[in-house]
Amino acid sequence: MQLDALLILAVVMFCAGLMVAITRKNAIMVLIGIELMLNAANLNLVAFSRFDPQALQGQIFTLFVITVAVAEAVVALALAFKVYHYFQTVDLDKISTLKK
Amino acid sequence: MRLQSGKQLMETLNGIQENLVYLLPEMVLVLGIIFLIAFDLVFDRKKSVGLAAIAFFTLVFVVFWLVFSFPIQQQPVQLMNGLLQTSPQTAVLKLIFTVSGVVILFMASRSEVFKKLFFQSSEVPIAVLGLLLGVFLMTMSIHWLMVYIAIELVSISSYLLVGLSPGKKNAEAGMKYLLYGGAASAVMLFGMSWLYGLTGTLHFYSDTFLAGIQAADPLVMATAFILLLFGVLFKLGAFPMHTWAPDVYEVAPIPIVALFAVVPKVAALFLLWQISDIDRAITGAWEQWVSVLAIGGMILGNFGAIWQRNAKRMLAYSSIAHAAFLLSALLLGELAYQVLFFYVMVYALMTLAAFFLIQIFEQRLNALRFESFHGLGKPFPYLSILLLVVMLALIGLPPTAGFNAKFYLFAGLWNTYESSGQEVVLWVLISGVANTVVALFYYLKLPYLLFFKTTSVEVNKVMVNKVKRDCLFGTLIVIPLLLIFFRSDALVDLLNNVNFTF
Repeated sequence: MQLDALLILAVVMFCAGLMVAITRKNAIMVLIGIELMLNAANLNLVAFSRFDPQALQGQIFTLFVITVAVAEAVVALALAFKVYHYFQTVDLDKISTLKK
Repeated sequence: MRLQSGKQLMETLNGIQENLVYLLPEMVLVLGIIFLIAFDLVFDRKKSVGLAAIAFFTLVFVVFWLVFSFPIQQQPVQLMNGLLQTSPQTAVLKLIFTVSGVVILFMASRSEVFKKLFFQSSEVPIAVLGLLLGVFLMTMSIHWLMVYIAIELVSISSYLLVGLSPGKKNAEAGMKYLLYGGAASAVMLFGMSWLYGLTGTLHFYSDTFLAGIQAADPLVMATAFILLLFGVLFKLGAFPMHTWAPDVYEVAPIPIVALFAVVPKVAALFLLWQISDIDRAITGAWEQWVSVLAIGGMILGNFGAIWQRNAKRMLAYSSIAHAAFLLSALLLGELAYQVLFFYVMVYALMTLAAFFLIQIFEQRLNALRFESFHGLGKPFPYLSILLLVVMLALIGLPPTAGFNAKFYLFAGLWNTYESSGQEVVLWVLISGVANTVVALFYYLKLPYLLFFKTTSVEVNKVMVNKVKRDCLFGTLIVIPLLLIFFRSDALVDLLNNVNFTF
């Protein structure tokens, strides 16, 4: 029963993250959406980890995911900074010099 | 793995120690990265020669190690408690990756602009080595955690490589690439977490995993697997996750584009091949899936390429189409290894050659948009003929290796159709042949503009001399394409000698 609740929460978080990532136009908001999706996956991993005969695999995975997500966020913010430097905005609709 | 006692811990540690020899290429890459950072910190100026030397030396060492250590890689070995697996295939792929890396660094050193970008500070060479390390791990992983980390390592290095070059467009393309890639990998991770929950193990090569997926609900399993595919297809740059490719290819420096077009693509394809067995077990409809992806990619890549007016964007769409051809090689079953590796080698060669020649045009003659190619064939006939040969190879016409690769692929598809009677395979074959005809139009556009249009550009002596020297190296890359056409059996024999059994 408890597992079900966690899984449903994870799915809701994942869908919310995906919605944010798709609909929001601000690059930082999209990034937050992606983080939400990653955390949904983390929640799944931790929830499933309890039933793993080899214990802890899922939790270790989660730690790695958190670390990698930080690395990705760092690069993303650096790029957002660079984009802001050139465009004075991080609105994805307004930064479109490339041919579609 | 739960450790019961100190003795068990010692055993595990000993096992890891014994495995280290297999991971020497990866360790050398990491050492190379550390040396690059240290060198950058210690020396103040005139760093470019040292940085280039370290990067080249690292890659050349890896090449030599891979070649000479081939005997110990003949048998598949599981490393690090089943996180990684080396096999002859991974050794061959790593060799392809490293050689591509050497060619790309060499390409960068042939142009003043890129030389500055690549070797002025340690950032770009570090990202290149990081990307290579990522693809090495990606080909070896047999554990979802490793797959995720390897894909992220490749991705983050790629974002950096796009974003590091100065310019408005680079910032924009890098940002969009990152957001798109981040979303794709998050979706992939969600799929992985479900696969973990349904099977109870992260080792996707184990029997537990296969037993687990057979016991699980097919619908949930298939959904999880599709989510997982998003991440891999993103790295492959294949339909329907290809939309980042044209933008990124347009703005990134040419050597980096060449790297993207060859290295992560091939690694992702191999990963897809590794997990294809799982998918067969899950749905039994693997052939249909791959066929849809392949046909979609061929049509989209080829018809997208027709409308392009920029050589780099055209090659981006061409690489989407080639990713589809590579995907269709996964349909071949028994034959797949030989056809796949042959196609991968030829694809790597012709892509590197194409970008090398386009770089000469861009850097020396300032030609990247199609208008600026007009009539350059007259002052630079040899360069233009080289480009013509490479374009013929990309289409798949004789007398180039591209013909053999396509021929083996189509023959293999026909055999598979005859022996299995699956109609989808026939459709892939028909679409492949039809798209090869479409490819004639856009690949031959460049040679057509070069030879049949007139130019108003003044050509000076210095330029001609520089281009002459470039052509020498261009020839070195193009000649193998011709040689393999005439002696393709030699390459096939070589591939057969590699023990392609698991």
